[in-house]
This record gives sequence, structure tokens and C-alpha cells, in this order.
Amino acid sequence: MKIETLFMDNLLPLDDETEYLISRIHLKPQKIHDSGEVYDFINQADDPVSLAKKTLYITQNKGAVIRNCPGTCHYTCCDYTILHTGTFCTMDCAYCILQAYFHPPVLQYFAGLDQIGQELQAVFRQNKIFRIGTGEYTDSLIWEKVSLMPEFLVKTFAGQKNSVLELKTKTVNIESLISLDHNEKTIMAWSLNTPEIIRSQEKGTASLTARLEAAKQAESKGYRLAFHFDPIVIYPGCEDQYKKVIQKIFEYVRPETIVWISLGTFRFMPGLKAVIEKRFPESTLCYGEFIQGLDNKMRYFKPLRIHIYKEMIAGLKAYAPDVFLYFCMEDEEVWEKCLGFFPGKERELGRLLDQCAAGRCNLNRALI
Amino acid sequence: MFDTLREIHISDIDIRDERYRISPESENISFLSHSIKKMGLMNPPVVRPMDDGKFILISGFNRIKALQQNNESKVRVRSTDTHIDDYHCLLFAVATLAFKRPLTQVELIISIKRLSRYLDREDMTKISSAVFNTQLAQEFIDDLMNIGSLPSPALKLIHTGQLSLKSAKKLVRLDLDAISFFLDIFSKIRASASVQLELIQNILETSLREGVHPKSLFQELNLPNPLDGETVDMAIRTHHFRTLVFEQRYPVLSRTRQAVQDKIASVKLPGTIKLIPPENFESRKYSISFTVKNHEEFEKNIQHLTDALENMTLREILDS
Repeated sequence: MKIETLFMDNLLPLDDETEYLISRIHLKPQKIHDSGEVYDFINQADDPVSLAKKTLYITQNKGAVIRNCPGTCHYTCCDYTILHTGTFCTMDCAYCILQAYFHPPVLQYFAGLDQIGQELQAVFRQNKIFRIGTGEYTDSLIWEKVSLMPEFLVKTFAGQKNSVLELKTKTVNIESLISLDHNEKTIMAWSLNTPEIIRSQEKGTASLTARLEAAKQAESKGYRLAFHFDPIVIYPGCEDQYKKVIQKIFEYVRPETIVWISLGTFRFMPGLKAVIEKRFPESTLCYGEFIQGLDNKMRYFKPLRIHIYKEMIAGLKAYAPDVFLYFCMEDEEVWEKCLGFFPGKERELGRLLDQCAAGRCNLNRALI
Repeated sequence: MFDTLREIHISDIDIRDERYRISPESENISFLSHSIKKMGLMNPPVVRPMDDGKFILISGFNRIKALQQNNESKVRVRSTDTHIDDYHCLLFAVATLAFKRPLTQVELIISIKRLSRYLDREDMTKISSAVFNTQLAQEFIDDLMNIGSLPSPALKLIHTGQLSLKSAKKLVRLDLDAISFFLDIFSKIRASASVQLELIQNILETSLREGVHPKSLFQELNLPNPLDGETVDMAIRTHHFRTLVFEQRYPVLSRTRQAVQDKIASVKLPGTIKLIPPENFESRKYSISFTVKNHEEFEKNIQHLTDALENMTLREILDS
């Protein structure tokens, strides 16, 4: 989606990073003193979410740059660390929680490579393994074509041995990163779905084939890979279609370069349903068999989740028996019935993922 | 404007002209007829004289009907002057009733719909406290206008409590076929406001998921519509219908619930002991409860539970 309006925090200096960004967006930024002006601009629209996707606000992160993944109670979290480089997204996935998570959603780019660099150096000095990602509140690579940030991050992570950077995306924006010396410390991760879901629910994203082509290209340059089946959508015939996606992954990349694969069925805060119904009237996403989960989010009825997970895991195990598979936000019963074990101890899943990262990304194993 | 008190022939009133009527016709006016017979007419109806020497009613429709039932030929009425216009007669009809008692939902809808010929919603909001005896927000007026445009028997169903305003508001957004389909459903059942909304939502969502129009949902799914037959009483019919709709919206959940309930029943725990599955089976926690009046009952229940330890079905339920 093309940016049509550009706002910039008046206090933000024009430096290499911001000048590079502005020059490539080809818009003159409107300098503002108060972020409220951006919120007002977006809120006046009939469809604030759509307007927000075309309105970029370049500003500074005034909160924590590095923070823990929020997770939710009752379901096992992967203890991911978030590097907060921006919010919202230019792509338009019907199921995107960010539509309802921010009020209103604002497409923010947090400039300040120096600040981010300093915060990361503090993390790198700790005697602990970190799995750090930028894809929690935005897509990691939507700004790759216009920003110095992705390149800066890959280079910064290349120079240390206790953390991996996971760039999670539905784009194929890897051009500026492909030739970098990443030192195996960056994991290029793609969210995957069936072609039907990508076509009908993931507006503006790259096709499945394009994503896997990009993964193959990244692999050829030594990048480590990850894949996330999230959200898995349950619909008639989905089992076969997800299995075909799994088969296709391994037509493009080797299991040895995959650090992990996660699975998570579609779940949503109740408030998202009205947003989807209004913005995507053709979507039937919310009309599956959803029940209210223990964390108050709507989830597929558990036997349905277990069924699709089992089917997909069987498929994945057939191609890549050694790749670490995990669930995003699932409970003990699902883990046990589908994967045969449950990382029940506090931070156990995180520890298992740290092990994977250490093994595949050549981190300091003594820190596990 | 309304201060002329006069006696006129009831036959001179064109009772078919209901342009100022805002209350649905009362089905039974025998109490009113009886009261007028015993105590006389306490409040004279209000009429508007027409050019042809006839009158049309502004208020007092039921009173005139009751007088006719009593075989009266004349009535004392308050008559407007001849120059009054339709708009002011309508305002008077609404205000007279609204300051006597709160208007019902249907009266409010009819009043707003009729006044909308003369006022936009902004003006209606401004005069609402003086006419309706309550302050009406513009959004609420919009809702009532939309509900007022629903086809028959929507207002009748609202009047009888078979269709809530919230449900009616949901129906407004649908196409005419779907509206008629839902009105037909609500004319055959009696459900609380929350159940009405649940039914609308479940039917619409199932239809959207299956890619069929709501009115053909039952045919497409090869289901007998429990509302089609002359079945049992309304409460049972409503329950059956609600269950059927839920089963279509949540087929796997419904089947699972039923299967677990069947298994629990087969364990044959005594009636005093309840084994309750987890809500929607999201957690694994079953709850077991029993009530006792004395220690002997307590002992009996414990013995039942001890016996149940050997029951393989119970083990299957709890360990599944």
C-alpha cells in the first residue's frame, strides 16, 4: 500500500536515517509537535484502519525499545524479546489483530538507530541468550526498501554471540540484506498460509511461492530460516491444503537451515470480529467454531485445533523430523496430544528455543 | 386551538381515518366500555373537523370504539379549529399520550415515523422533550425510523414482546427476504431479547459460512425446520429451534457436548451428584458436586463416588 500522507515528529533530527527514509517515500513530511494531530487525522476517517495504512508517522520510540512478548495467561508463551521498531503495517490481512489492538492504529516508524544500537549492546553484554524479533507489532520488513534499519540490525547482530534476530515477514523484501555478512545471527522468518487464505485474507502480501523463493534465496546466502503457520485457519479441505504448503516448503529449502517452525490457529480478541465484519464483509474467518478461551480470546474449539495440528505435524515430521516445532499460545493438553510433550516448567519453551538458536545460529552454548 | 367542547354524532366521525393514531388497536376494550357505562366518559376524545362536515380523530380511538360497543350515538368531544394543520394535530396526538404515560416502543416508532414527514431528526431531537416527554438522541431516532420501515408484522411483534428493539435493529441491515424470514421465525417463537440476538447471529453466521441465503438455510442443510409443523407449545418449540440453530452453527461442539452428556448419563451417578464438564472443553477441569442434608447423605454420596472409581466410562471421560 502506498504512503499518501507523511507526518514527522518536529523534535526528530534530520539525519542519515530519516533523510534516507523521506527521500525514498517521495513525500514532504508534515512536521508536527503533538502526536495527537496524527491520531485526529486518522480518527476523522470513516475507516480509520485503512487510512492508517496509508499514513506514516516518523517518530521516536518514547517507551521501552526492548520489551518482553506480552503472551497471555493459561497458554504457553515462547518468551520472545521484542525490539520495538514500529507499529502497524501497510499490508491488509483480514485477521490482523493490530486493527483492534491500537486505538486508533497508527503506522509508526521509530527512528533512532543510535538509541536502538545502544539498547542492543546492553543486551549483548548480558550472560544470557536472547531471541529478539521486530515482528510483534509490525511486519519486520515492510520498510526494507526505504529504510536503513533492517541492514543496521543484521550488521549489529552479526557482531555478537548471545542473541539472534528474527525478522518475521509476509513480504519478499530482502534485497538490501541478502549480501550482508550476517554471521548466522539473523533468522529470516516467513509467516505461511495456504494459497487460498493468502489470496482471500492477506491483501497486499507476497504469494506463497514468492515467499518460498525469497526463503530459498536467503538460504543460499547462509541465512537461517524459520516459518510460522500463524494463523492457521480451519475450513473445509484445509488439512490437504496445509499439507501441500508443507510439501512446498521442502521443495524450496532444506530442513537443516530451519531453526524452528511454529503453529498457531487463528485466535482473536472479541473486539476484532466487528472490525473484520466491517472491513472485510466477504470474509468468513470469524464464523468458524470459536469459543471463548481461558484468556478471553476467541479460539477454535479445542478438538478442531488438535485435529489440524496433528495433521500438520505429521506432515512436517515426514519432511523434517529434526526441526523444532512449537505452538504459539497453546495449553498442556494440546502440547501433549499433538507433540507428545509439554514444556511445563516456567520458561521451558524459551529454553528449548534458545537451544535451537544456539545450535543453528552458532551462539555461545555456555549461556543456555 | 383545542378549547371547543361540543357534542357530535359518532356516525360523523370517520373512524377509518387513522392518520393521527399512534397506538396499536386494543384487542379487548370491554373494560373500557364497562367503565364508560358505569362512570361516563371522563376524557373527551379530540377531533378535527373536516370540510365535508365530518370529523377525524386525533385522540380517543379506543373510547369511540367503546362507545360504539355501548350503542351510544353521540359523544362530547374537544374539537380543534378548522385551520389547524396535520403536523400540529399529530404533535398533539403524540404529546397528549406521552404526558399521560410513557409511550410504548411501538408508539414511539409510529410517532417518529409519522413526524418524520414534517421534521428532520435534528429538529425531532430538539422538540423531543416537549412532545415525547423524554429527550431522544438523534442516533436513537435514526434507529427507530429504520425499525419503523421494517415490513409487517415487525411492529406487531415488537408490541407483543416477540421482537426486541435490539433484534429489530439487527434485522434492518438485512435484505427484504431475510427480514421476512426472521419475522416469520419470531412470530412463531417466544424468546428473550438475548436469545433473539443469539438466533439472528447464529443463523446469519451459519448462512455466511455455508454461502447460502438465510431463508434457504434449512433446505440447503436438509434440515426439517421445527417451526414448520404445528408442534407443541411455544416454549418447547423455541427451545427446539434454538438447539437446532446452535447445532448448525457449532456442529462439532454440539456433538462433543452431546457425546459427553451421554457418557455422563451412562455412568448412572445418583441424582444428588452432578458431574459437570468444563465450559466449552477448553480447560480439562470437570467439577463434581453434591448436596447433603445430613451426615448419612454425605456418607452415601461418598460411597457412590467410591463405587464410581471402578466405572470405566467415568475413567474414559476424565482421562480423554
